[in-house]
Amino acid sequence: MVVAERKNIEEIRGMVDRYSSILVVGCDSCVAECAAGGHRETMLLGAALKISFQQDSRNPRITEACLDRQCVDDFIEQIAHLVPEHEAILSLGCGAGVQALARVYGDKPILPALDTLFIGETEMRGVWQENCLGCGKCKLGYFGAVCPVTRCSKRLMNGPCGGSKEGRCEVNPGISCGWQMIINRLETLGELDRLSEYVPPVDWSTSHSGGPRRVEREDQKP
Amino acid sequence: MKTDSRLERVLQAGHFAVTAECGPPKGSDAGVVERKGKLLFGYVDAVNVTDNQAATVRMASLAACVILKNMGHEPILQMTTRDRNRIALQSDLFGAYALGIRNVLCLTGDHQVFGNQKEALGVFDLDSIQLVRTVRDMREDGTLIGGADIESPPKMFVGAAANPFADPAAWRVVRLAKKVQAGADFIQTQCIYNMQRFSNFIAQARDMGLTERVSILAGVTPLKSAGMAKHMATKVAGMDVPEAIINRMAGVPKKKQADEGIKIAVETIQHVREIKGIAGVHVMAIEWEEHVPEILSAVGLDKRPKV
Amino acid sequence: MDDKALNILVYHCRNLLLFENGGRKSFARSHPGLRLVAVPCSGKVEAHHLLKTLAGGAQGVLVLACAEKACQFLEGSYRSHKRFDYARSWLEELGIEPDRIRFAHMRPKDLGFLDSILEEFSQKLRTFGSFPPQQDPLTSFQNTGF
Repeated sequence: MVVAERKNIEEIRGMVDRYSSILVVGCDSCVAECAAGGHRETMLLGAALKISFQQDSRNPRITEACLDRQCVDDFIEQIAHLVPEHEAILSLGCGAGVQALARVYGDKPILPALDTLFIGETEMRGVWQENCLGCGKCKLGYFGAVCPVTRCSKRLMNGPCGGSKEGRCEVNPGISCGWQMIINRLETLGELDRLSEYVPPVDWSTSHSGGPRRVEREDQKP
Repeated sequence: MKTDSRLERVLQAGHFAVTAECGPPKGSDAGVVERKGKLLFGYVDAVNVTDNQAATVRMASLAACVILKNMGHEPILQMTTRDRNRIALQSDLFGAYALGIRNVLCLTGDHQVFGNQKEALGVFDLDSIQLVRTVRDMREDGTLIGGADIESPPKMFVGAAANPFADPAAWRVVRLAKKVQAGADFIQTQCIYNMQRFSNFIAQARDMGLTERVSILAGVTPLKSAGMAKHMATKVAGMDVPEAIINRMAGVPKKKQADEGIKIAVETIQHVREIKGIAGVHVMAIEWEEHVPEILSAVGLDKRPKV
Repeated sequence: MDDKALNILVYHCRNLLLFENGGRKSFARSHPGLRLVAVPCSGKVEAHHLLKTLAGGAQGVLVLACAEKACQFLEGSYRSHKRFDYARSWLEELGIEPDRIRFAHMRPKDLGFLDSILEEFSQKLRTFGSFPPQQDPLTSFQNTGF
């Protein structure tokens, strides 16, 4: 899933200050799972914005709505009736949701309420961990299903570096050493031999380095 | 001879090699490099020039290498993969060779979070081992990454670093083996304070036949004070400074601590010379280059061979 | 703040059985401005409810929960407290007195406790300015752009 975090209210206010009617739109997919932009958070941000404006003796029209998925047209269209009544849309979607809304509602300012962070997993309730960089060429099969591109701070393919200490990364003790995890996993699987071979440079052309990526499938098209 | 590196000749001739480190200034004053170069001149077989060490902006390693080269030094160009992608790295290798540089030490580099440009994009297009292979392939196959031919390929003597003191401990020698397999001709180690761990590491390398295939130079950094010892023990990643060393430094009056640090460095060099499989010593006197000659004199390594 | 009735909303767990033996009407009479909302479990009260209530004009919001170990939904009371802390962090970010919301555990049917906490809470709220804050005339004048 895509993991995001809410921007602080000051930054959000800075973006929406010029409008007198704001449609606050959440997304009940990834950003709901990471408690940043789902139904609850949409209600919460709407209320907080009202309070924030009230403190400046302002009372803009603020309407909350939440889509099941903010990155798919079929869902985006569900708020079509609300859009004309508002000057701007404040999106609690990830960056993809914000841009999809902007594509569909071409004449509306669409403003992000979240900072989109990464592709990750819910490691436990309240803890989200980045574990995929979307490099476009998955090598997890060689590394015991621990991604060196994502979990190593230096993206080493032939790690670990000299800064690994007691399973922690030198960058920050809050980071687990990705390479220690790779080694532990492969040791458990009895496949440490996978690591003895030299791993050549990564082909980054399938990553964002190759430009914005796009997938097209004829069988899926209308 | 694979190259016309002086360091390679020294090692090939079986001399116990001596290299030292020179950190370029945090500015554009060539005089700083010249002053450090003068302090070391005649005492070392080659001088490492660091590449924005600790991710702090300094004079380009290549520029400082050329300044030293013009003084008659044999520079070792340190290259990290942190700041440059494969296009820039390979281009710099061409340029370095054209300017007379014959040795390169391939590193990944300290993470940008440690330096004075914490907001920088960390490039890490290659890792250190891939850079080793790249430099080796340029020399042996005359090719770039991807296989394209090079008109006049640089023929560099290829070095890499090894840290026997990081975790996972059992993996350190495996990583050394990977560097050797990738094409490292020489290895310079992290500075040694824990001799027992270092000896074990070299014993493992010997058992795997690695010391036959690569020249290992043992890293030595003289401690300036008990404070520095404590700092290195706790704050510097991948460093092992045992309690005994810290206590020894703290056990002498403040004024005498520098002397004690130098004494420890001298003992360390004497010790590593006795270890089978050690081909030389790499002295990293951080902003303390003026003490390198006395350390080397004390162990009788100050007269360098003519090769 | 003048002495007129404070607009306070109380979310309380239904299992606290506050007026099981009657008395709701007289309680309401003696607490003008107070509204009581029974919820199936205090854990049902989320941060957005608290902020919405304030945004809707309440001067203070009180959440009354069963003791953590007495919660019929096991974790509800505990979670409610965590959500309450989260709502407080929002108020801090918004520059509103975080003490405008209050959380308390209580024993069922303990109307004496209810009285005392309401008294204490009201006193606290009276030390705050009105909400939404009334601007002083000079600031309003400056805001007109002259």
